[in-house]
Amino acid sequence: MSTSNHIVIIGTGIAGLSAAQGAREVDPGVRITLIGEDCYPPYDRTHLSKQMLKPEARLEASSLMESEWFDRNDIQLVLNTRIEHIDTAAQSLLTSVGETIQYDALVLALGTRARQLPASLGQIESTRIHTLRSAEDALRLQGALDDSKRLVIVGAGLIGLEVAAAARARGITVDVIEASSRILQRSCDPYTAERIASLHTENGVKLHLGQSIESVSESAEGSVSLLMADGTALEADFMVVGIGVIPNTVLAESAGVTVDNGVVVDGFGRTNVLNVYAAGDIANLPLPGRHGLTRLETWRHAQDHGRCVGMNAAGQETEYKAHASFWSDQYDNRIQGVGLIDDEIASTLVRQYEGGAHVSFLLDQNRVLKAVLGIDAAKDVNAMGKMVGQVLSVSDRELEDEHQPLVPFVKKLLKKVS
Amino acid sequence: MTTSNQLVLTSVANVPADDVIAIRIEGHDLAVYNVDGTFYVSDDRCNHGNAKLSEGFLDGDVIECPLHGGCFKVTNGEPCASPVTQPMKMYSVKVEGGEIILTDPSELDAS
Repeated sequence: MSTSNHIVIIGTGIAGLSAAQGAREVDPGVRITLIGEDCYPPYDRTHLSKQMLKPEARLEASSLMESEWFDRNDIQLVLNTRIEHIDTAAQSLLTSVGETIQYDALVLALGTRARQLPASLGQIESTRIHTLRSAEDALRLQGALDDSKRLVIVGAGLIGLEVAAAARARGITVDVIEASSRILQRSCDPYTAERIASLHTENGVKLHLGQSIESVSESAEGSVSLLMADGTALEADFMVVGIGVIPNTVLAESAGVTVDNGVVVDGFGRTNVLNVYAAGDIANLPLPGRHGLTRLETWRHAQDHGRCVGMNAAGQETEYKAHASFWSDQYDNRIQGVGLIDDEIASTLVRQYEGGAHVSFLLDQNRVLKAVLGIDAAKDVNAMGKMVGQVLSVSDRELEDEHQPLVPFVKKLLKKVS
Repeated sequence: MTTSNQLVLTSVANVPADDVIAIRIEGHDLAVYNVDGTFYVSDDRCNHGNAKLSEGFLDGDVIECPLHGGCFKVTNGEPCASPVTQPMKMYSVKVEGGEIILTDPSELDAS
């Protein structure tokens, strides 16, 4: 049964696409429009810093859905179109081509944009300075990787480090500058981060930790020069800036939707405005086991939250309860994590495997599993990811011993819980 | 390894109860599932993304992909939770003398 006649989703990334998918699952008859500025049909953004940086990689291979899928599911995909204005009283949208679209439910899935270096640092408009967020960015970066020998990366987050690995695979000299005293401060425990740092240094990346940038300039010979606070100067053919993202909230704010570090939503993805929802990176939402609101920037979250909010926009009432999770591919290693790192973490236990893989278990003072991370241990990270938020009633020794299988343990506990 | 046009994949003892393992045979990566003592075999690589189903979580007869959380029924390969939309490729197997055997190895070439 249809509770709303036209669901419009703004933003064609994974959150928007998943919202369309979720809405269609709930209501086979509702009209669904997926509209956005992007000129490419929905693509897998995670490929942009991985597969797409390999020589001769093609964007087509990163497409999320074949075009027939949109026809088959009767989802109208509108590309190259920006929404200029939302009239929440009339429940209508004004597009960049001057068209007015009526909606009964609106999902804001506008995502984020890359944070740029502050203008005070110098010539940051240079075409030699890259950020990585869209397919166009990746294609441009691919070109730079093809033609260059020296790269400086600002920010040792996941994007910066994935680009570092891709550049090293092509034999490019790589310097990474990070303001914090260690890499991956937000996403990894110290042990996992230390191991990833080693992977990079073993592969020839030069890490400059605890360093801030004093100035950036472009030389006449066409290189970028960078001066660090300690006086170190670096010269490169191009630069990649990976210092985080900013939610695209301007449209929402101008429509009277509450914005505070993203669009504020409840557990169902509803904003303060009737029939307006938000999903994915743009949404600041309540999460089980966490105080206040959290805005997540991972692909899996955008997918799962998008689907849930899409279902709710189509009339269902499902509260979002998924655990945060991420993965990253660097060199031949896969890094995965479930849960979030915060200041409630009281201890970290590490299980090391023969062959170099490991899993870190991050516990609070009550032995609640807050997060589990690992390198090349996907199976155990995944299984233990289902335990996030639960008290772990096993000894440290059992967690640390690689010969104690985790999957049966998780299954036993899940049976008890259900 | 080949017994009259059949291919021995692995011993049943190698596949823990209610779990999945990866095996490599003739250049193909396969996932072998043990659902209450019945064995199923599919391609290991998820048809949706760059992930190995053998690293996923087997819940009853449903395998959950470790990256995106898509699910397939291992009994018939049908997708049962988004984002996966296509069935995974399954292989015909039987158990004989404690070995899991691919009964039609030509299925490998079709993948």
